[in-house]
Amino acid sequence: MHTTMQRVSRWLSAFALTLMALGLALALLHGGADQPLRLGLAQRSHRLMLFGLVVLAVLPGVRVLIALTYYTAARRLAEALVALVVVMELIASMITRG
Amino acid sequence: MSFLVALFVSGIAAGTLGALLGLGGGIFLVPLLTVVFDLPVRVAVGTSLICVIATSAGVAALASEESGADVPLALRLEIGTAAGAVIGGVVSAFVPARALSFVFAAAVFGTAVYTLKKAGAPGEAMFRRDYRPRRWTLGYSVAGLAGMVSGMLGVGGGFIKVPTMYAIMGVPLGIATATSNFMVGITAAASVFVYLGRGDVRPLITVATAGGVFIGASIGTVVQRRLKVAWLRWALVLLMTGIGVQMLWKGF
Repeated sequence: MHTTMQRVSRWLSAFALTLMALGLALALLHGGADQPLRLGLAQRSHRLMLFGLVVLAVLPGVRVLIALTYYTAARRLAEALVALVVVMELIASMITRG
Repeated sequence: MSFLVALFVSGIAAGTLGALLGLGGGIFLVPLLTVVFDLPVRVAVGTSLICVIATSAGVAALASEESGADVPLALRLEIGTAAGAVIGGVVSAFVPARALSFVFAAAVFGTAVYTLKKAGAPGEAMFRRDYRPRRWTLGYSVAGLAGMVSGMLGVGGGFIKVPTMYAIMGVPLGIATATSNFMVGITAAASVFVYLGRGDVRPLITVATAGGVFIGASIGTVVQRRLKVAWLRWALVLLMTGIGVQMLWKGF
């Protein structure tokens, strides 16, 4: 499970950081190095960075889902139940705080 | 441009400290972003939440199986933390904020003293896997308190979770910090989409900071393997003392 989690963490993080870096590069090219920070950036750079941030934000939830899948497959039902409760808590938090 | 570079460098520092001490970094970043960079509090908190996840991601990407998080322990304690956050939300409506500040300060100081008293055997290992977490009742209770504190201060609560796991539950310090990083990532993920939806996450600011945090967390994960347990223990105690004093100050 550790190997899977680490691999997924690396790939997702790399993907997220690549998107963020591309977005940042576009923003700097559009805005110039000395432009004040405003949201008047090219939409594309804004969306790329935002997408990268969203990909990063889902990573903890993905790790818990990996744990849930692993424990269920290994029939470690107590741990699987705990992981399921955490997943439900995550979803409930997102809904109630929204 | 210098603004972005300053954010990036701040992120590296926060990520390094976060990975070393098992914190998300929010306890450093929120005051830094509001006081030094003059950002609105909601933007600072939104940025900090993403950075907490970046710290967690950085640690996860580099930690070996030997030095990585104790996932079953993290998930069990996370339930206690979430319960504490809910209870804290209810309690805070009836209990004066000043009284809560004193209670939390007492808990933080008590945990700091307990951490100091736990002078491990010479050559105490940062990472080992032949342990069994103990004192679950006390561990759950303090994790619940961490959840309440998290809601109050807008942070992940790692500064309570790490000493709880290490000093109370008998988890090796290096594993306690990695486990805490796993937990605070989950806690941050529960809130961050609200901030994203509200537009409180400014992409340029957050990307610059989070990029630095990820690099810092990676550095911290590698450096931690070379540190002595005693150094890290003292750093934790100092941090907790500072936070306890801050809470007391808020109470007065």
